Amino acid sequence: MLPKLHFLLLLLLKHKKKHLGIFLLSALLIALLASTLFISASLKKDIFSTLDAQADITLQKYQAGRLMNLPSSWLDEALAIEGVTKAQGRIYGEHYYEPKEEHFLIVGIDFYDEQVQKNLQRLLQNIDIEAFLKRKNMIIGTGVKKFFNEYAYNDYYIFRPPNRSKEKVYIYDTLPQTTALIGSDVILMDIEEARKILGIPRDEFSDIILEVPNKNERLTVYEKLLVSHFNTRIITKEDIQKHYENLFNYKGGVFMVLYSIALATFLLILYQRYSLITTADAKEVAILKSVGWSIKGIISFKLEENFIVAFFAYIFGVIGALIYVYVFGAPLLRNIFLGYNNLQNDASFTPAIHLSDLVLLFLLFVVPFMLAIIIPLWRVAITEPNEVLK
Amino acid sequence: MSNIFLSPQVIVLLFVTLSLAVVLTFAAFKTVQLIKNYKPNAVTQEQYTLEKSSYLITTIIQVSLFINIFLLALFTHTLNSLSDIIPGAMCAAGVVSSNAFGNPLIVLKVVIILCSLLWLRINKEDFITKGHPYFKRKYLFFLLIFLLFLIDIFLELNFFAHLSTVEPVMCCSHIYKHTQNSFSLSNSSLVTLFYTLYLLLLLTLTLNKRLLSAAFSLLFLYISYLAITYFFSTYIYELPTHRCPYCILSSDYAYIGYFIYTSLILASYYALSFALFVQKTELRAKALIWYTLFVFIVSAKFIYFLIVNHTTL
Repeated sequence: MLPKLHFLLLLLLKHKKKHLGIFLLSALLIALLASTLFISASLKKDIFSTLDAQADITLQKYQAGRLMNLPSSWLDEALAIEGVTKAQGRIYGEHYYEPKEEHFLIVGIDFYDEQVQKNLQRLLQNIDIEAFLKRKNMIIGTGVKKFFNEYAYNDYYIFRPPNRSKEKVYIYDTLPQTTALIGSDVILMDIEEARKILGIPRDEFSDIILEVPNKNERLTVYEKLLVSHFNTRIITKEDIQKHYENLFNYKGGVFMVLYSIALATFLLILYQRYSLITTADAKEVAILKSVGWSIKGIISFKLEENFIVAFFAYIFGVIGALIYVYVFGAPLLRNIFLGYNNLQNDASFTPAIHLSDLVLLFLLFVVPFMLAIIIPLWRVAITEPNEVLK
Repeated sequence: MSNIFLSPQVIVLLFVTLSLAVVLTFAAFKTVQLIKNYKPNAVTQEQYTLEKSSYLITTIIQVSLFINIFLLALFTHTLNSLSDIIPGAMCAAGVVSSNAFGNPLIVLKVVIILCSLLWLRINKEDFITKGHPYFKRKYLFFLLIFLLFLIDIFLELNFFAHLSTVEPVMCCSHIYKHTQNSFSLSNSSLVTLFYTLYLLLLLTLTLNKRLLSAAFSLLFLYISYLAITYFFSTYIYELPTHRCPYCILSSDYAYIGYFIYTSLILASYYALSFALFVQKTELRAKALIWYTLFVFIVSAKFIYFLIVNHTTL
């Protein structure tokens, strides 16, 4: 076994040039797919960890297919349903900045709510709620911060609510970088201030979130909400999770379908490339045959030789993808998954590497690689020694 | 198009299967030429070329067997992961039984692997025996395997195409809920049959009763599946209501299922190749060892249970 391996490696080193092109192209192709798998896996990990903190049920009002504000009387109706322990109206909406065609997501929070205070303190350790409420303050996401700095809004920003007034709001703090994936374009401010800027009347909410701690009761609550008003949309936590799962499958899947077309082309090139029997190849086979190698032995030897090339290309491609995604943050490719039509998202990727992804990649690349070269290698192996050595 | 076709595992599965199909089709064409024109005693140039193509066919089958084994593992893994997006399914069992193509597909995949193993054994014997006694037969056998493979692709495409992400399916405990299985055997008679067949196999193999042991090994393959599903699995899960042949393949049970099924398939392969093709004591010994190992692993948890609880049968 060992002398054979030694011989194999010697041959590979001798024919470096012959394998180099295939090796580089393979490594590149593998790196491309591995990067998307890594990006997709780490985004999934991040999003699912934040989804756990989502409300159990979200209630929205729909009219003629459009999302509307809902009356605050719905809040009491929802609270009256058995099993609902907490119902909270939310105020949020997009603030559009026309000159740059960008929009921020303004979220109003009730800073007097103890639960909210606790959550905020977990997010920003040194927040002083009292100081925050003394004047009009806001907490902004990293993407917003970057945008404001660009336009020299270093301390405050002036919003223009629909009633033509001016609202000057000071920047209190920036959300931590770890929340960048979903919180990049977010502006947090007091709920009354948010109402003013978004132009939502006092007796209305954007939507209502409900807490139903008992999992078995959720379906009943869902049904009761469904019959209470006929113009609602009710979103459960599971719906959101499934939606994201499908979204990532879809994005990853479309990429993979396109990729497999590229891969098929590569395999065809590989087939063509190996079908050209060079004199050096023929000579090598002739020498092996004349020292007593069988056709079977030569085929398996050639397969092993190329397996080593494919395998090392795989290793290099995967390592390259790791560096590309987790060290450099996957420039260009990230936009497929994050989208870039709004504020630039600066999310960094949390490492999430699954063994199953690596196995999948190996199967998708190395196996068809080997299959594509079997027939050409056999053609090389059956060349007549006497014709070459003449 | 259903969402299933965009799941990365399914794409990989289909891509690899289809590229395998291309190569196997090439091999099948060569085989047909070989069977048509082969004359064992001729010394023509054509004859010489034909003999060379037999090397190709052998290599392709070797490689495809290897790939098929990986693909089967990937297939079961895919089924397990698809159970996340198919409502109601909790493991592969629900996914497999969600349409009519699932169960035949799994059976066919196992049959193909078993047949390919047997083919390689015949090929090896043919190579080392003077006069190539199995020559024509082995190539006809390969065409049969190729046919099975084509059916396999057809079933697989249909299976994924008919997999719905909306319609709820049943979970494994529900599918295998009834103690009545296809032979309507009670559990105690199933287990008795399992151990009796095992002993009969040992006996017939040692006594060189070839046809009997072949028949028994095929029967044992099926009875083992039933026994694992309806009886032994409950001891592995340590839950009397949990009956499932797929959950033992999951990480929760340390992937023990892969070892169980591998040992069973290997044992059947050795027994069948001993009984049907080559009478070598080495093969018989291997068959006996793998059968014993299989029976030991399967019953280990059950026997452990009996000892710990001081229960007598």
